[in-house]
Amino acid sequence: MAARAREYIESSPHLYDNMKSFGANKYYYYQNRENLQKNYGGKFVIISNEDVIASASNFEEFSRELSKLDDKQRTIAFITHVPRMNELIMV
Amino acid sequence: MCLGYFAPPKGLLRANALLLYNNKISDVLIDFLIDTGADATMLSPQDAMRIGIDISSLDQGGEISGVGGSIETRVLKDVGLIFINPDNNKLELECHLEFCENLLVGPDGWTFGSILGRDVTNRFNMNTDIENSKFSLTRIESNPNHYEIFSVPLKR
Repeated sequence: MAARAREYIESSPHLYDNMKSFGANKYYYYQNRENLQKNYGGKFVIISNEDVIASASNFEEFSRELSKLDDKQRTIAFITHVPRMNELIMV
Repeated sequence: MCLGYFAPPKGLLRANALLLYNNKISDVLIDFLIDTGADATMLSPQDAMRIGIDISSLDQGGEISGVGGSIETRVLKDVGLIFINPDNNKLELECHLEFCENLLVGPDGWTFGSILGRDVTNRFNMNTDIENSKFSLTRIESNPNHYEIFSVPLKR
């Protein structure tokens, strides 16, 4: 399996760029977290190209929105459930 | 060593990894919450869907309990987590492949994202430098679980 993993990573020229784009989308979420909480608190968001491209109130909606993305968008998208303002989370 | 990060605003510890399963590798990074209170590692259904896993086709993973009650899970068997650190000094990607017997998948209503539990985190010494917002995981070599480390050239 390790050989397969190495082969895959070596043959994926876009992997590093995808990792950077994913990181940028993740960074966008944390940088704009308060605003996103005001607008999307309690919802799932899909962030791509450093912007919210879709939101969903439940898993079915999320599933529909995710299915609209092409492979590239799906690969680099950061997805998360946005907590409501002042919501404390204990996993 | 696997690099993690501190997520603002309250310093959640998180780490990203690719998933190796069924001899395939996900082309999407999974953003894991480091949860030292969780017995097991769990993939969120949203991440599972993003990777293209048909959750309904997975075996039952049993019930797990938490603060909010109990939930039913599904299970992915014989998977690997690939943590990737770019080493900019060497122009390489340093890859750490950690094998897991079981990876639970959460139910539809799960909203907490994917979680890296103690079945994986206990294989590492976790180095948490809160003052400088640095977090890394260093493998405990004596831990019997299988892992491999390799490097590949960084392609830009």
